[in-house]
Order: sequence, then structure tokens, then C-alpha cells
Amino acid sequence: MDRDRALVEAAQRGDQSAFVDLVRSTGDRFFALAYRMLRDVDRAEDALQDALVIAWRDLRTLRDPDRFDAWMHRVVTNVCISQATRERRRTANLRVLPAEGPAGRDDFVSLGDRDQLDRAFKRLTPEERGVIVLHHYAGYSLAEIAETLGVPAGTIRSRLHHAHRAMRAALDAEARQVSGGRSA
Amino acid sequence: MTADQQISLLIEEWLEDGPVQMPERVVDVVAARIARQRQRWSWRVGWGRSPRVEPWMAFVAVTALTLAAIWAIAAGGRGPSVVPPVPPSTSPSPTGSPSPTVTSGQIVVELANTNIDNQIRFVASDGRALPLLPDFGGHQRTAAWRPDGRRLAFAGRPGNNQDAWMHLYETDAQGSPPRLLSTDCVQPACVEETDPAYSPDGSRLVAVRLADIRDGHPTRSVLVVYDLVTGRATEIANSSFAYASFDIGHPRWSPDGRRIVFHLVKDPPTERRRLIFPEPRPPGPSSIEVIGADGSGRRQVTSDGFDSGDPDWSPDGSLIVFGPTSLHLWLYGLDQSDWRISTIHPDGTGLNVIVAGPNAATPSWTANGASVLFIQASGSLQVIRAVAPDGSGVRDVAAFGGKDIVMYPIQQPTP
Repeated sequence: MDRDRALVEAAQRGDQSAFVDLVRSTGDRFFALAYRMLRDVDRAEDALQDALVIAWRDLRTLRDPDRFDAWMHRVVTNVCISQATRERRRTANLRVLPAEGPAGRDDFVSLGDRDQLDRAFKRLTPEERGVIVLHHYAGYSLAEIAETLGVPAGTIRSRLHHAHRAMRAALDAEARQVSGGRSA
Repeated sequence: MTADQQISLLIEEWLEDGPVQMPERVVDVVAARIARQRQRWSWRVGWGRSPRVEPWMAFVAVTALTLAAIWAIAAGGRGPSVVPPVPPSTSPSPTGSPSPTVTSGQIVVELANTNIDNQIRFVASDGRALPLLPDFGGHQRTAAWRPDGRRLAFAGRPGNNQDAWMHLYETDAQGSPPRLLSTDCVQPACVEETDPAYSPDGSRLVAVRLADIRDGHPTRSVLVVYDLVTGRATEIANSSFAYASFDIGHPRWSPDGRRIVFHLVKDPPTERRRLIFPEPRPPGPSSIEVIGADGSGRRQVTSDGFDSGDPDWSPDGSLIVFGPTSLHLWLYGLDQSDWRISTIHPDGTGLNVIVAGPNAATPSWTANGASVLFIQASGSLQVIRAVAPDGSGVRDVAAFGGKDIVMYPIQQPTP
């Protein structure tokens, strides 16, 4: 952490190599966040690149170098939201992307559930996706998300509620389909 | 375990899957990109809160830029009706420098990119598209000049109010602090107003209103006409469809101020806020329609089978120019081979494709009626082009590289 702080401070003074080192040191967690919002490796990579360039440009406005992670979460989230909002061509032919890497834990989240969660997640607004990922993946509290995104806490709460409801409805629909299929 | 706890647990498990390692090439790409990217000082931050740039420095900079702008205007002269062709800009993104003044007759565009909300920009003399309203932030869309060129109306959502719907604002060619024009828009009857256009005498404003909010969503979209003296709005046309996104839009006045042309998208694919996840099918048929400014005499001008949107009435009143629907532009980007620019008489006769495409969209008349400006993708560039009303003499006006989408070029009428 001390090393990251030193890199942030050096980068704030215009040291490009320090910023590149900072990217090497911290990039994985921001990439993981971007992937979970966009559900696509290429798009997550694009979003992360854009977020890092914005971060470099605006780094001097970060007053507390220890808040770099939270600040970057905001930048990455906002870029992902914007990218999803501006997404055009690919949205015309939506497809469910298989999760990469070892599936694991399928005893808890079934493949069918996973598909439905993917579909439901992609139908959320970008803002709702951001709240889901920051809350359930990055572990932010609702108040922290509100502070990070600069949005009222009540709005975050309602976005999370709506997102939960939508995803639960998707799973319920899947369950009904499975049960209907079995009985047929 | 409650249902909410159960779904939370499922989501957490589901989110655990997926890559956690950044591809190494990101480091190389970012290193190359920041080598060309200067760091921003404190232009986005209020002077009082972060005085990194001393006021005397700002004064010197502004003075120097003003002198440079005066020199540029003097050197450039007034010349043609649109700005002369410029070499491609590598990026329309701002550099953080203060914006030079928009000179008479220059062009404003709307820019959508992956980093920020839409932004209104002007094409500077060096070919870059610079922010007109850097302090407004937020979302800025659907700009239109007042016929005297002294005011610019637009729809916006200020950056300090992320959850707000858009409302109408007015600024000037210098990007002065915007003034609210949506003076008769109060929920639940009025939710959002966009797509403003001044009447020829500047006393009225037509706009698209999303109306009658229920369960957090508007249920109708309508055309309204604002009386800018009284600030009162009158509804003149209802989309007559269940509320959906972008179904009615881009109203423009006839030069005599008696009629209004607009586009209608029938059966858009999805509701607002879900626009980015449409069903995998194109929107329904679109058409150009004309209605009296008092709401009378509404009729369809183009047939349903012809993809049509973003109409603009010629200054002499004889023609309506139009392109593809902006809904397509939002959904698919500027790369549709069948996108063309056409003109038609207001009575629906004389359809004439003046730019056969590909990839042409968002036309607008120059104030003198001599040219139509439009945007066209050309390889990796997006080019603002001008064409004569008969389709002859297509010429480049400005070109932009990068991923950002540049759309809706409109030329400032000469005051």
C-alpha cells in the first residue's frame, strides 16, 4: 500500500513510468471489476484502458492518494456505465457469454441459474449493474457506493432493489420453465 | 433465509466466476496512450476550491487565446458559408485548454463517446471539436440555434444531478452559463423535455416532452410549443403509442412558423432505460410527419417503408431534408450502408435521395439554404460534409478520428 501511495504521488507529479508501475500493481482488480460489469473480456479491456487514461489525465484532482482505489473504482464504474450505455452494434445480437475459467461451485449456482443470471444482468441498466458489482463483488456498502458514485443513497438502494427483483424474476422464470418441461 | 438474502448469495457466487487478471497488453497500450495525453490541471474544479492555477495565469492565458482567436478570425475572413476543410483531427477530445470563442457561422456538433455522456461541442478553427459547455457537465443533447444565431437551445442534465431527467436550456455561442427554458415542466405531468427548436421569429420553442409519469416511467411522449414570453407550454401532438423510447422527435419549424415537421418511430424496440438492451430486431417503421403549430392538420409525409428521421425544413420552405432515424444511430453506430440523405416536398411529393450513402446521417440546412450539412463515416474517420440541395458538390468540412461518434452538425446563423 505504501508503495502504491508513493506511485500515486509520483504519478501526480507527472511521472509516467510511476503511473505505468501503478497500473501493473493495481490493474488486475480494476480489470476484474470491469469484466463483471460488462461480461466481456474485450469490452472490459477497452473500458479499463479508457479508465486508466482518464485516471492519468485527472490524477492531480485526487487529493488523498490513499483513496486511489476508491477513486479508480468510480472511474472504472463510470466508464463501464458509459460504455454499456453507448454500446450499439453488439447489443443488436445479444448472446450469453460463457463465464471464463473454471466454473466451480456449480453445486450452488447451477448452469441454468448462471445463464439466467447472465441474461437478467444484461437486461439491467448500466447503473444497476454498477451497483450490483460494487456491492456484491467489490464489497461496498450502499453508503460507500453512494459516496463513490456521487449518487444519493436512496437511489442506490432503489437500484439494488430493482436489480435484485429483476434477477430473482429471471431465476423464477427459469424454475417455472424447468418444472413445466419436466411435467410435460 | 429471505428471498433477498438468497438472491444476494447467488449473485455473489455467480460474480466470483470470471477472469481476475488484467491482460498484459493493457499496460503497453495505456503507456502509449498516456505518452500523448497531458495531465489535466484543475480546470474541472472551481477556482475557489482548488487554486492550483493562479488567477493571473488564467488572465494571461485567456488574453493570449483571445488575441489568437481575433487573429484567426481576421486571417480567415468570413469567406464561404461553412468552415473550410481541415485536416483530420486525431481526436475530437478536449485538451483541457480553455475553449476559444465560437465565431460566427461555425458549426456545433453533438458528440457521444465511451467516457462521458453526450456533449455539445463546436468545431474550432484548428479542426478540433471542443466542449461548448465544459462546466455544465452531465448530458448535453439535441442542440438547435435560434435563427438569429445569438442563442443555442439544448436538452441537458447537469453533471451535479445525475438522476435528473433532461430539461431544456439556453446558452449562447460563447457557452455562457445556461438558462433553464423548461419553465412549464413539473412532474407528474411533465417528466423530461428534449429536442428543442426555436420558431423563425425566436418567440416560441417546440420540444419533445415525456409526460405523465407512472411507476417511475413516463407513459406518453408529446410535442409541446413553449411561448418564450410567458413560459407556458402547449401540447400539440401525442405519439399515440404506449410510451417508448425515441418514438417522436426532432421537430423543426417551417420558415413561416405555421407548421412543424418531426419524425415518428413506430414500435421502437424497447422502453427507455432499456435502450441498450433491445430485442434483437430493428425498430418498426419510421416516418416524417407535418403538423400545424396549433396542433391541426397532422399528416404523414414519407411512407412507412422508408427509414426516415431527423427532418429539417429548408429556409425557403420548399423542401424537407431527412436522414435515417436517430434510433438506428444510437443502436448501431454510424456504419449502416443504406443510410442516405433525402429531400422531399412538404406535401410528400418529389422524394429525392441526395446522398446515396453509405453511412450518412443527421442532416441540417445551413442558414442560407445553400447547403445541407451531414455526418458520414469514411473509413476510420467521421466526416462532416456539405452538399447542395440537389445532391451535387459534396465536400468535406471537418473530419474526426477516434471512437467517438460525432453527429448533428448545425451551423450557426450569422447574427
